[in-house]
Amino acid sequence: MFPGAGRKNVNTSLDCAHVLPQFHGVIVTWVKRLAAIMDNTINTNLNTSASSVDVSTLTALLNMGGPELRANLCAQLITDFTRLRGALANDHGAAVARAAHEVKGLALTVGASKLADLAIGLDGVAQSLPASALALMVKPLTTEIDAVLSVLGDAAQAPA
Amino acid sequence: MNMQARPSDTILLIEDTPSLQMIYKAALTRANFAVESCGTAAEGMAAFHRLKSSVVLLDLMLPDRAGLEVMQDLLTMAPQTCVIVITANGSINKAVEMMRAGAHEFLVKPFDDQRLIAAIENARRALHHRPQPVKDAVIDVLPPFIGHSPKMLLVYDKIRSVARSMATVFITGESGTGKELCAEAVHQASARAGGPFVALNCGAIPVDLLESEVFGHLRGSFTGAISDKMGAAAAADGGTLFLDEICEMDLNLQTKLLRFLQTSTITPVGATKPRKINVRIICATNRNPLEEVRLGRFREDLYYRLHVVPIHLPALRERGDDVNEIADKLVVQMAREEGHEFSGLSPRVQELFRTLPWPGNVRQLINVLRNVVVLNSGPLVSPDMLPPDLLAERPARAAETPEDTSNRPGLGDLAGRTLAQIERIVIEDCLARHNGSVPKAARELDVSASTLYRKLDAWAKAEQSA
Repeated sequence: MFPGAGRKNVNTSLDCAHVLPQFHGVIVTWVKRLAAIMDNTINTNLNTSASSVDVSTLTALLNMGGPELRANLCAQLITDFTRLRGALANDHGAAVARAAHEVKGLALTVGASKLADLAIGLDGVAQSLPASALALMVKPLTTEIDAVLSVLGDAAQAPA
Repeated sequence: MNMQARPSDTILLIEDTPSLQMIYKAALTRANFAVESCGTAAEGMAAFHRLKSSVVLLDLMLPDRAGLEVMQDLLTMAPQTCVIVITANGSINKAVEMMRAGAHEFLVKPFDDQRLIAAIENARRALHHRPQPVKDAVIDVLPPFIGHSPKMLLVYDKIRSVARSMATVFITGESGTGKELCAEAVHQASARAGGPFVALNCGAIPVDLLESEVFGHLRGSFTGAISDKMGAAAAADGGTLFLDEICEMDLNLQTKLLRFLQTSTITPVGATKPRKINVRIICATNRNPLEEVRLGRFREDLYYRLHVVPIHLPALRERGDDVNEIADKLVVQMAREEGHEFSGLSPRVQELFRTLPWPGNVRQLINVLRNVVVLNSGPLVSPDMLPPDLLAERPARAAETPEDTSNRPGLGDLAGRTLAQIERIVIEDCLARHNGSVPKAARELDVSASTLYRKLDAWAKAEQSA
């Protein structure tokens, strides 16, 4: 069984495009507040980085083949999350949305549900946000990616 | 352009996130499926062309193209393909959109390996039970040909009819009209499609080697024959042997070919015993075979042996709007290969293409489009992108003013005449300079003699009816 299977992938992007032009200011304020809440939540949980990833899900994923596959997969996941972290540091909403979408699929698969939730939220609104609001939304996401990378780093060191 | 080859069992996975690619591939490999993975739409299309996969796992968000477009292209090329869409965007709207566009199944990330394998197995089952498309039998176009012109529709019908028989096919047509494509289409539509299709260009092989190439040779049969060689005729055993540019064949070899056609046996160079083989012969020439017989360059008895079912492929300029239909499809395909953005031709280019003489036919069109796609970026092919030498071929110099034409020697006489009238003047002038020799005039004008004969015939008929 792939790890994150069974978890619902909620799409929040529907209808946003119609609403945003009229309520842009309200939404930006709301996004800032939401980002601040997310930021606080993540900061308080940073010390328990293992909770960023469902360990049983990740273990099942890494053990789907032999030790060679486990090592290769760990390395590839670290490479991909690092690449996506870099891709999120972009002023263009479309590029950020694209990266967030990719984070979403990958996070859901490795069992990083918190990261997936953040990515889903960003994917839905990134294209409509000004750069300042975008940066606020991206910050908790990159912090959570760091937490996931830390778990993956530990998994890479651990014996198969 | 529908794909003709049989679909393969290799599953094509098009997913841009390398980790996910690795995970899906590992799960499928563990379940004993052969998988080939690609990270971009362009790579995926190239792999699809090569593998002809019957099942494709396609991510919706790819870096170079939308998955929906990729799926539509895959289904256009091979409608029987089962495309399983994988996406992290699980909205109902998206699923409905993809299923309406022809997706076989819609998998939302994350999904477990059992779900993935079940989707593949469902697709395989569906392929097995899916009725073979009757489309080819009822629609007019015969893949891989493109074009709906009345002349080509007749060609398609003839290919379909002749494919059911064992009769020898004699294809004529100017260079670049698709004679080999036609031969392959006959082979593919015939009961021999599972057998080999061996093409041999009689004009490209030195006369001394041609016999060995066709019939093979034994080691030591002549200087340089260091090992036994199977000839094209033996290699095509059970299938089809296509002899292109048959009129270039040496007269001595024509005798041997005639014997082969009469007895269905070959005797490799240096061998003493003949060997029985079972091949269907298709041959082609860009010359007028009857004229070659008249000139003594082609054996009359061989001509009648080969000329059982003739298929004449019209020149591109005779195919009306086919030129634009072909160009539209090719330019998109080439742009994809070259990583450029082209969606078709501008109306001005379409108009120009319809009027050009295209002496090199489809082959010339392909070269022109490749030139355009490599050197430019779209979205539409405009006149300024075309190679200058192509524009010089424009027969009707409509853009020139009377002042311009008066400065050009000879052109002043042509002003105000139709293109057909000018063509006739040029051809008649050329024939007069060659004392009425059609082959010589054809060589100078770089067209086949058959083209000139057809024109002369048409003019004579028009004058009689007038």
